[in-house]
Amino acid sequence: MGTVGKLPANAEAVLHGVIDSLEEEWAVVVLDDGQRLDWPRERLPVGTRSGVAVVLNLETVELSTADVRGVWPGVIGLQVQPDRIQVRLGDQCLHWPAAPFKTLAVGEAVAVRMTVDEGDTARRRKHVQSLIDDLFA
Amino acid sequence: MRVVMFDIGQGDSLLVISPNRQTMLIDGGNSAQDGQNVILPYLQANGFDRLNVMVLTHPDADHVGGLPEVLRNLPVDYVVSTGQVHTTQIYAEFLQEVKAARDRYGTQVIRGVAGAEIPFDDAVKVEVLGPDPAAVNGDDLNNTSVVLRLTYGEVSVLFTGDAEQVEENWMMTNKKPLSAQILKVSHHGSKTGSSDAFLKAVGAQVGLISCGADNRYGHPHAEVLERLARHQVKVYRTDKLGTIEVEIDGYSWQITGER
Repeated sequence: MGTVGKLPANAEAVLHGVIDSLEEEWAVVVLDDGQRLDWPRERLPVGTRSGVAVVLNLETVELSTADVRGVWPGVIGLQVQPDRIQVRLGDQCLHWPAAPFKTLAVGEAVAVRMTVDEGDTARRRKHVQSLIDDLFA
Repeated sequence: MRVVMFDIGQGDSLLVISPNRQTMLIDGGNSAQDGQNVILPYLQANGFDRLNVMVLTHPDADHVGGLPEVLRNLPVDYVVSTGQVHTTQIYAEFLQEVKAARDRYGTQVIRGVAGAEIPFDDAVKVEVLGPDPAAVNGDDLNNTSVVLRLTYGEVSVLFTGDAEQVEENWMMTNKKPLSAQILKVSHHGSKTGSSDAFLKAVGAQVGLISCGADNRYGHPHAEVLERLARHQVKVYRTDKLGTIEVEIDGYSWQITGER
């Protein structure tokens, strides 16, 4: 059984978003850069619910099959843009800033780790509530 | 009156054009592209340079996605929304654009809960049947969908957003008329909505379903299609027909699909 190894911490290496809704066996993840991803419910981290902010990290992998909550294995896809790498997750793909991952090759196994960010959730709720208070005053 | 259900894949966007050419957009599909490539070109091709009413049934991304783009490009007289809190970037962008439209055009904001009044063409009766105002501050977005019943002459159309059985049950206990010949089937035909009791209360002859071809959620669910068939509701789906148009003359209707 392998482990999930962390790539060097880098602010550019993460994607931020929100669990928009839960649809059947999937959680609809809406990322701040406009990308969408359907994440399998059985791979959601503990504490996930609709409206919670999440962070997606790309990690190197010798994947532990037991380490399934919050982790989804994938592979590096063809690089279609010079500044973005493609990560294939099942029949979907995400695009990631390429700079921190220059050493990754097409076909290389990776994993995406989702973590819940309660601080960011609270910050977003406060921001949206202030807009609503203004509009519905 | 014309009702257009746009083919925007897995999401919802409908346009109502009243007999006196007033316009009501109900939801905006998935993304800015749906606004740019589908909604705005349709409005432009039909000679509209403003929207009278924009309704966001609930903040899910597949309903709000194209609305910021529409707000950036067209004056809107009234925006109807529940004021529900949701944390996605696209919903915050929608609220910011509503604020900008208010400052730019004097757009008025209406809280869309049961009993709200929406100014529209006098030839069309507009009733807001849901959501329960007391439910709006919870976390259940689908069950706080704005539900509208529009009646022109003798024909009513019920727009249900993503309302599930919780909201359906609340509407049935709220004792307002739900009957409609034409039903926008809720939540893309998910089994979470369209209960037997609700379908019986509505008594629709036509069901309109907006869903993406081969979507991974399995919408519309087979059991909902069976329920609709049992209630003798004839189904029209965007994944099969593309954009669907319903022309209503006050007594009868004609339905066409783009393919």
